[in-house]
Amino acid sequence: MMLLLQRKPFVSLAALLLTNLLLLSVQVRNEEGRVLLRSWSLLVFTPIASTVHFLTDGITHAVRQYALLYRAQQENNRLHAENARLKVELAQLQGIKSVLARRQGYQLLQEQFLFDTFLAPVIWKSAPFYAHRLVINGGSRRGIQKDDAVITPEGIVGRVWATTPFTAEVELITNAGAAAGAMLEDSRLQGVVQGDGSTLLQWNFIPNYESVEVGNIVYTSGTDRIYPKALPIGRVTKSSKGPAIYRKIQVQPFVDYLRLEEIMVVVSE
Amino acid sequence: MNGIIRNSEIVALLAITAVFEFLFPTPSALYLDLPLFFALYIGWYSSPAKGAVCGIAFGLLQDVFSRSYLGLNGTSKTLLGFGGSYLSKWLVLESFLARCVLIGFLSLLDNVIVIAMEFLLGQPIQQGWLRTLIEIPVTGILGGGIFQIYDRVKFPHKDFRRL
Repeated sequence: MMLLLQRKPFVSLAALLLTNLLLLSVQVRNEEGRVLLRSWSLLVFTPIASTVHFLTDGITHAVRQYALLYRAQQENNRLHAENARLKVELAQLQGIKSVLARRQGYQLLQEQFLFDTFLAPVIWKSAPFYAHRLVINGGSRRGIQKDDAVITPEGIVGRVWATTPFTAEVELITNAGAAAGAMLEDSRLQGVVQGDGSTLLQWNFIPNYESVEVGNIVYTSGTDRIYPKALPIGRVTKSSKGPAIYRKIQVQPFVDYLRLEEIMVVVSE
Repeated sequence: MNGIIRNSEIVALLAITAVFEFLFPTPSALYLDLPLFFALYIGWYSSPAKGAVCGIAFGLLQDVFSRSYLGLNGTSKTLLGFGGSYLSKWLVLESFLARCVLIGFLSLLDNVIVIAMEFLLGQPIQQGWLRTLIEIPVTGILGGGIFQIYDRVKFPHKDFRRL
């Protein structure tokens, strides 16, 4: 033992000093009457304990946060899915609302006329640059006949070109060769509105000496025996004197043929 | 030099210290720190480890009889016993005066260590400054004297001319 101590004198010194320190610590009491050894052990072990507590608490907190984030991610995904579903439902409801609004317009229009009308959805449309025609869900079984007028609350659409028992083909007023009797609202000036295959209409047979201003609204005159009288057709967008005796007048139709979803057929007796 | 101080000698010195401390417990009127002197002496003529072990033994003995906290003088004597051994390797102290000064200085150091420990432990300081000031020269001079006598006993002067 002594040999070991002699080989490492500083270790032996440290051991002896530690012995003295321990002897003192078990005897001496501090102001609170607590043995110093206990105070010192508290002093030494408290930081260790608090560090361990800090680490375990931190790890627990991190794990909880991770779990919370994981749950939040799941919740987020669920809310995203629900949000998408609600958006679809909202779009559907808005569609239903607009349909109902349009129906209200059609109902008002129907009440204006004494003749029978039939509301039909559009089930097929040709490309506007190819043919100005569309097909509706309603045919001869519903009383629809050739040359029945097809209208919307905004204005006239065209006429029935052909029918089957369950469907009918409609020629738009913008089709080349399609025409309707038309007149101005104020001056009651009458002419013929004709389609030329474009999205615009030409108002023909208005003499050069007549005054037609841009912005005037053109209505059906009822002289063509197809369209009822006083249905809106469109607004004059260009009006100039022609090379011969008739003016060159361009009319922008009120109906947006690209967005037609439902139309009303005026069923003739 | 390790073999110079035998264990039986240490035991005898411990016994002397115990009797001395029993008769004149610290703080005594004699102002002599005998345990310090013996710890220094053993450390001086032996290894640092042995000096430290003897230091703690003499210090604890002093603590027992002075009824102070065990380890108070034990710590200081351990350090001084250890340090005394190292001092013997660096210093050559043949003259009486040098020994007195060294022992007096180490006595001062012993008191400083004890006072510092009492202060650090938050205990009332038992050593008075006056007593410390008296103890330093007394321990130094008496220690130096005992050192000298002990040296003469252990290492008798040989007149080589008569051989």
